[in-house]
Amino acid sequence: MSSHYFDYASSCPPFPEALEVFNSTAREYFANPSSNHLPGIKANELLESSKQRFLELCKFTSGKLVLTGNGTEANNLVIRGVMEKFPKGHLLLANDTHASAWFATEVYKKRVDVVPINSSGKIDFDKLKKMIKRNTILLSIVHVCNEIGTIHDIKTISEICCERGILLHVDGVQALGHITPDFEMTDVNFYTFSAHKFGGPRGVGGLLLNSENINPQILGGSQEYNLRAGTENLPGFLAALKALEMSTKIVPAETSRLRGLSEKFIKTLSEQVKDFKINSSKNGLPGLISLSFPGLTGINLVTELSLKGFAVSTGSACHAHNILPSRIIKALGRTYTEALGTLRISMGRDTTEDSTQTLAETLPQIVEKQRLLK
Amino acid sequence: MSKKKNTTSAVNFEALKETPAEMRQRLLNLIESQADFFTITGSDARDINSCCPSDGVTAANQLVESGVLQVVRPNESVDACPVNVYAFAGEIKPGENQPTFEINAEFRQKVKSTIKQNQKPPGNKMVTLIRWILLAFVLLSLIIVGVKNFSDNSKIAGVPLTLNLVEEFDVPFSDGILIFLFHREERCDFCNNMESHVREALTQIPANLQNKVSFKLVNMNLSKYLGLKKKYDVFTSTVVFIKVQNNEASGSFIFSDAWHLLDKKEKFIAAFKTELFKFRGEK
Repeated sequence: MSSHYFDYASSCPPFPEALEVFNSTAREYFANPSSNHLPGIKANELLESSKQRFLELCKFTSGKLVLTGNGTEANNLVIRGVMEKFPKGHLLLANDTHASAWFATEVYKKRVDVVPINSSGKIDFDKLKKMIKRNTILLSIVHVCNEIGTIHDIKTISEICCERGILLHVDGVQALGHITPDFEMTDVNFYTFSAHKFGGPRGVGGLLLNSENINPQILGGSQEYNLRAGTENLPGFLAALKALEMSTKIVPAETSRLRGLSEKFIKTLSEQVKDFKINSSKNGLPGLISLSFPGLTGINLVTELSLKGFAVSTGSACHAHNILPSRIIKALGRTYTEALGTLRISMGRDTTEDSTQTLAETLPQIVEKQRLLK
Repeated sequence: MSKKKNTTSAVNFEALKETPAEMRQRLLNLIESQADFFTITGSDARDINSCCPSDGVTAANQLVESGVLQVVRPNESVDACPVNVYAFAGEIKPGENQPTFEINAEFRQKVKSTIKQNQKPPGNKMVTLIRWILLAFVLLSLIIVGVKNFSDNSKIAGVPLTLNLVEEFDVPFSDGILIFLFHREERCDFCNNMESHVREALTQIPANLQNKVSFKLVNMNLSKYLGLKKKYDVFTSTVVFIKVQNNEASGSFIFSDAWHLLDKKEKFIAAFKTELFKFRGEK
């Protein structure tokens, strides 16, 4: 484990209290919630009451919660489920969606159009309105972009969807437990999340929904309102609930603390490094900073930082014979070489000022060295 | 974490003579800056079917084989292009979780002097005189070329400067789109597929456009094309669109979808045509 962890957007350390809840629930409520005996009934009661509590925390009490194995599965369930329900339906997908939704461009091809983002990473509402067709059934967007941290204006987008009668899916994987929504959650038809992003355990995701317009994707049981067959991960879900309670509680204090750390980091970096671009914005996800160093390769920076004890991530990926820059960074208008040299730093509740300062002092040395030794 | 150590105690410093000038300079910079290691992302281009082939990795690996360098690949288990961390032989030490680095000043001095030695002119006075004359001639030529290219930002310093794309590639138009497929001397399946997809895509564009588009192969290992390789930031098989206006190259676009659509021929062709039309300013 790196001594300086700056990859919260990939996975966040679990709350110890959440792990304790996992342990105790796994020991005491091991029975299958679908069983008709007393231990099973007790497990089911706990599952239902915990779901209610989760919905309350999310201010989604009029809707339902469907548990999945992770955020990717939840996004797949929404997109595939709606597209199968409406075989002639048209899908609008924002350009900064995660790969777990972006797959639709490959699978549904001509039934999908991509809503562009502008150089600030935001969706142009007029363009969006013009792209809605008569058969558009679903708009899928992210609440917070995982690469650059843009927080989208879900309120306005949900109004557009409501006005035009289309379903709205918001991928909240990077948002839930990190920001306070400034819109009525129930204006969204499908809201997906992943527990390990807010301090819960791995293997727990879910979908908040208030629409019946969706087909199941995993068959073979009546669990989760017939939308996702399989025995529920009760210990995992209770741990996720505990983590959500804890992370929601610290959101206001963490927002200003992480914004302060980010600001200081950028200031220190700007004093020492020339020629770099900031892809993230001050008003984005607190603690997420995306930077591009033209001419360098993000993965080289990640490796060298890792050797110095820092865990950060990059936006580029290896695809058949080459390193490809991130689609999202390119959509901001960055050049190919700028996009290749992208680094994502994401902070969270255990990130300290000292650690951030050390990174701000180490990164310039590495950038300078890699520029010299290119 | 995998490690590839020198298996021979005898270091072949002669290999430094054969390594490309770029690598020699990198090693000198490493020594001068007292940095512990350098990184290159990619795989050995000698393995023609490897992921992300890189000439830099090939050159560095040859020095590993000669016992001059040592390499570790920290992300080898991850599904990504390999990142190679190179240090001078014996300088990489196994750590608890990560390797550590220990500079061997004596070894570095030997590397430095070997490189410098090969850069030194011979002692003969006549040879020295000839070198001075040649240097003066080169300087004069550079000044002339520099003045000539002062207002032409399509040329790059330090690489063949007078290459005219239209003449060099016998382009049949003065205004149109030139499409380059940059490839290595050794062609691999990826690169061959890329070429065949592009050729097929070009048969599908409207007839009136066909005589406004010219497709050319560029062997980026040829020294005369090093300038092009640098200009378009190419390091592996790549398709590049270049706008030609009044016999001059203007804007360019790297068709980066080529890599991930390579095994989806129909999609490759569709994306190629879309990007080509977009590049021409059409919908």
